[in-house]
Amino acid sequence: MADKRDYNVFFDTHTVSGIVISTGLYMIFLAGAFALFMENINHWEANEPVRDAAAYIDYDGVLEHLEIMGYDMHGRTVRIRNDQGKIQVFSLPLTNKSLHSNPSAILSDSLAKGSIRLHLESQTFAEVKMIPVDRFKKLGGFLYGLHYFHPIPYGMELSGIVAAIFLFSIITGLIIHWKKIVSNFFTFRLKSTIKNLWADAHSALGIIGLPYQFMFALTGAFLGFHLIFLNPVATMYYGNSIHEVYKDVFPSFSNNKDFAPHGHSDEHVSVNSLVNNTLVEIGDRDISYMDVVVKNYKDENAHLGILYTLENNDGLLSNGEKGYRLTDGKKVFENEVGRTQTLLFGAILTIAKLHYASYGGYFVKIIYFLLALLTCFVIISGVMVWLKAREKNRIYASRRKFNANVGAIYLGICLGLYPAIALMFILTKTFPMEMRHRFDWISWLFLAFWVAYTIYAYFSKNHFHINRNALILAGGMGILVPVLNGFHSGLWFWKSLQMGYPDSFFVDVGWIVLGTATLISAYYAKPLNEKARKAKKGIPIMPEVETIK
Amino acid sequence: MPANRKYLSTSPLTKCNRLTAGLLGSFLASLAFHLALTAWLELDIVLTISIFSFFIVWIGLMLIAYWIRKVWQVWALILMITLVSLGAIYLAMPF
Repeated sequence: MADKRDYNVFFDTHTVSGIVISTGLYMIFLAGAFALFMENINHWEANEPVRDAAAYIDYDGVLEHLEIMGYDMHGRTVRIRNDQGKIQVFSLPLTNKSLHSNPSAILSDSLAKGSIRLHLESQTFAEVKMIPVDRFKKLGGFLYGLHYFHPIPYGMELSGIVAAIFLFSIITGLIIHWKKIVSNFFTFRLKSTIKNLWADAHSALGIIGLPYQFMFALTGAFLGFHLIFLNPVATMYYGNSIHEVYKDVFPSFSNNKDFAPHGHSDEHVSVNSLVNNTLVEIGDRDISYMDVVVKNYKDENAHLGILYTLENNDGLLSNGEKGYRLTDGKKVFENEVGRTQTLLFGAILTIAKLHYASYGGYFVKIIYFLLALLTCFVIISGVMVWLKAREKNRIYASRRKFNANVGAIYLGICLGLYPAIALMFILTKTFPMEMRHRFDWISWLFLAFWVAYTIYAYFSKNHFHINRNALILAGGMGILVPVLNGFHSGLWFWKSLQMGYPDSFFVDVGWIVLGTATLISAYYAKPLNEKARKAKKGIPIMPEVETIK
Repeated sequence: MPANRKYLSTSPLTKCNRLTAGLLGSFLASLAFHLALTAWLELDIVLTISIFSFFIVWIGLMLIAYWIRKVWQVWALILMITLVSLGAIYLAMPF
């Protein structure tokens, strides 16, 4: 850095932006690390066996059955997909009340036109009661929602802003370390002062995690905050409708004027035959996921959208989409993997895959998990650098008490989250599935524990105790998770894999490894007291290294 | 270790002004710039790049807002980008 002024300005912006977002970012990364395994955790919670992905669905039969059940089907947009071998049906309420209604409707009018959320047996179409329906009221889904602040209003946009500011912190951090990037990378002064230890950890691990963090800052900013960019684009170039933008990306989920209902019509091409057409076109490549959307059923302007994901041979680009008009079976849109895929479709799916680590199986997810934990450590060490630099500095003497309070609360919030998550895993396997308001109790107890830990941290102010106690609590509870799961469901981890419950096995073993590692690190954690270390080992404290030469 | 206060601006008004220019001003400039690109080039291609570059340009301008020494120069740069982009959009519109 050529200029002292520039260096100091960027240093200050790095500090301020980092401190402002630190706790939010820590939540995002820690909850997000667990949310990578959202599906596994959901299956673990519900004790679900191995997924039956290849079950055949009779789409025409499902649609007819819905009409027999008494729903008003005209003009409906229905989404049908396979969910653990059951047929999941989803439809929003009908908005256009003037449409022709179902004469044989046995349900009351409001129910017949209302939303549909059902699970049906794949052969008999008998309704399956699956509780809970809300995706955020399952453990994995809750952690996923927590990851982008879903419980608070405008949480998603807030998390997008945090990600954008994180991008700013990453780049300013890179600028201030640029000149010493190589030497800092090889510097880890474990035996020097505590301040240097934290500073070295912050810069060395920050540099190691940099590409990963940059990717997450960028994709996270887009996923959380894309509307602030796409809404003006829609206003100017798409006739003021965000649905026109969606039509360019995912026509199946668009609701724009091309897909407006025209009038009642009974004749339509069989959905099953069009799905078969798609399967024939895809050829011998295996499909891991398929989503079928019927738009404006029983209408002159009825359409069929088919979204599919190929089995993971093609890496990043493995998603496709096909659309047909149901009156004559003509193909109206197509996003075929590697051939007619539009750029935007590919780009947005690439963002999603990079963010959710859904492109390389468990290996990539575990690496993501470890890198997310590393980023959590970088955030904590940044807060520690901030605290230690102000503790003995005369300039900040007047604000010493305030800084100590802020530091204790920050550490309490950050470190308390890990045992709170472990507690949630325990509670899901303690409360019976049939309990009323089961998940509300679990999430409130989670919050209560987290707040209590923060209050404890505020009164304790001892960083060593805050850290070690959080690790002991989390490690202890983590080891208990597989035990409680064994008593609760009988799926002990040494036999769950043979019994066909891979997710149960994976989460249990994951907690054994994580809990053991946590307890070991808690055992080896020692108070980083400068004077005690110096007196004990006789090491002279190194002189402060001047940052600017 | 904390940044040397000698080099930082002390007046709250300047700080606030710079923060506004960095967060809001650079956001508007980035938005106007990308909308102008969309007006002149093919929509699909520009949107594909914009979903990445919109945030990078926003944050990059935020960095520049802190790098330039005088705040009025920051505002001049931001307004220039915004106005040139708006002019380009106006020229591309069919009215």
